[in-house]
Amino acid sequence: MKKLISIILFYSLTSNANVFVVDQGDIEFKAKGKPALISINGKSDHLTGKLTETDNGFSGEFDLDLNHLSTGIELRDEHLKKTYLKVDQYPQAKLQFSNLKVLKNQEIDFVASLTLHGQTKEINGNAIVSDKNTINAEFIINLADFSIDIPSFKGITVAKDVKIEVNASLKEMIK
Amino acid sequence: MRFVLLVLLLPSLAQAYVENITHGYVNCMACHISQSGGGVLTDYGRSLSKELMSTWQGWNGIEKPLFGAIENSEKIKIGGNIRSIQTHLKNDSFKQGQAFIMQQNIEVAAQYMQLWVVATVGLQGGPSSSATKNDIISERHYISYDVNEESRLRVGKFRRNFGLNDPAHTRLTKSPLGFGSNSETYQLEFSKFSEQDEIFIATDLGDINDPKSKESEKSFLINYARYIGSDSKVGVNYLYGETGNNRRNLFGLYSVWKLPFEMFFKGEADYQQLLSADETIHLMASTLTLGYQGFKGFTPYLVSDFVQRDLSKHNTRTSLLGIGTQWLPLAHIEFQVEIQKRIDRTPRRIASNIAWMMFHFYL
Repeated sequence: MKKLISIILFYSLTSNANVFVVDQGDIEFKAKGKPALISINGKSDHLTGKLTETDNGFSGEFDLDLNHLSTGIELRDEHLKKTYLKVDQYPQAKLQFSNLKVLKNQEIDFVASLTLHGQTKEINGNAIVSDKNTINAEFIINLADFSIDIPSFKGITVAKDVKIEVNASLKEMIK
Repeated sequence: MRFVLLVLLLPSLAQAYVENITHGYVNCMACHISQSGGGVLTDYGRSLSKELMSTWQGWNGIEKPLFGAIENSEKIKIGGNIRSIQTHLKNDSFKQGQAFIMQQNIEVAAQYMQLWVVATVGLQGGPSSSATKNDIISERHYISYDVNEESRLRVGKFRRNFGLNDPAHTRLTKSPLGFGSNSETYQLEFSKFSEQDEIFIATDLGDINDPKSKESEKSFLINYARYIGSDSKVGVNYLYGETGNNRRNLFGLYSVWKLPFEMFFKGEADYQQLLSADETIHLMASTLTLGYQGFKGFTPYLVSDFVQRDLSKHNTRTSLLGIGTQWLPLAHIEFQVEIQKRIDRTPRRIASNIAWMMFHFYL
């Protein structure tokens, strides 16, 4: 009987939930290299994720396969993945939201949990969710917070703060 | 006359690839010791020449001086260039083709604390008819001081940083405005860089070897550029110059833009007001280039140049359309080919078919 009540309760709680998955998405990071102030941009479109919309807002996560990050220069990609992100050990980055209050077409501030390089930290960012269920979020991470060494190569050293942009088109799952 | 025309055809003697802005290198200092670009490479610049700019990457260490036979130290960087060219020009009046060495020099940059001392020494290039061919010359020699991480002060002989630092100094925004081959002058320059913009302020001391020369120009120059995003740039600059014979005000706009589909645009437009005792001459010049970077190391492009040396006279116009390609197969090696249709109205209309092919080896 208890089991039946639990099933009914669970069903009643989740039946109003809308579940969205990432249809298409990418993540871009933007870093500065000093002293010449070069821009180092990397991108990956291997983004997956699922968000569930309840009365309390959106909850869920985005996952990025770091093996597919590309900065446009092979040697730089190799250094980034092997030496700094250590993708052999930590191949995924995960961004987790919980009860994210969304006002469509308005910029919102959010707090999320980012797991990168084996470290999980809270990050603050802002995002816009459109009527067409696209989400554009951005936040800044400090490499030291995630125990990532500051990349340096032949006189160019990357600044410790790196801006990250997440762009995803969400598709509602059929209930 | 033939020599003058030939000299007008010659492409780059500098070495700077402004289109690298579209890869996030909005200023020149990552790759060059010179803050305005060109000349001796940093170790990072050498690495980029292999990793980003060359079709084939070759072997480990290929990017180092002389294919790895020489090592740069932390404080001393070595450079140098050999450029040779084959030119062809044909119009109603004559047909001409020549092959010769344009440039042969070595360049050394030495660092002491925040100070860089840079100098080139080489032999004057040019066709065999050139009176100064094989004379010993130093195109650049200067001292640069890093005031702090964002600012530099430089004194010595180097190229005035006006407009696009495009290697092709024969563009009609270069030679007609006094920025052609061997136009390096003695200057005092201050430059400042931020994440959003850069500014150069310089004063040209004129011909210090012949200070009484009426041709020698003393000038003041200011050049401000704003970075657009991380891969494009727009700049505006002004130069006031004075010689014994005239004064000039020169205004310019320039830009390098990353475009969709691996394309880029670089362009410059300049206006000059030249004032002498008995007249004022207004000049306009522009150069527009559309390039494609879809193949690593191989960059085909279209170019359109225009100059009207006196806006009150139609028969002072020169325009050209060109198609060309640059190819850097391996670090240290560059080929460039360009074919142009050039129309000069000076005052007779002369239509010329021009082609040149350049080989460049940098140390």
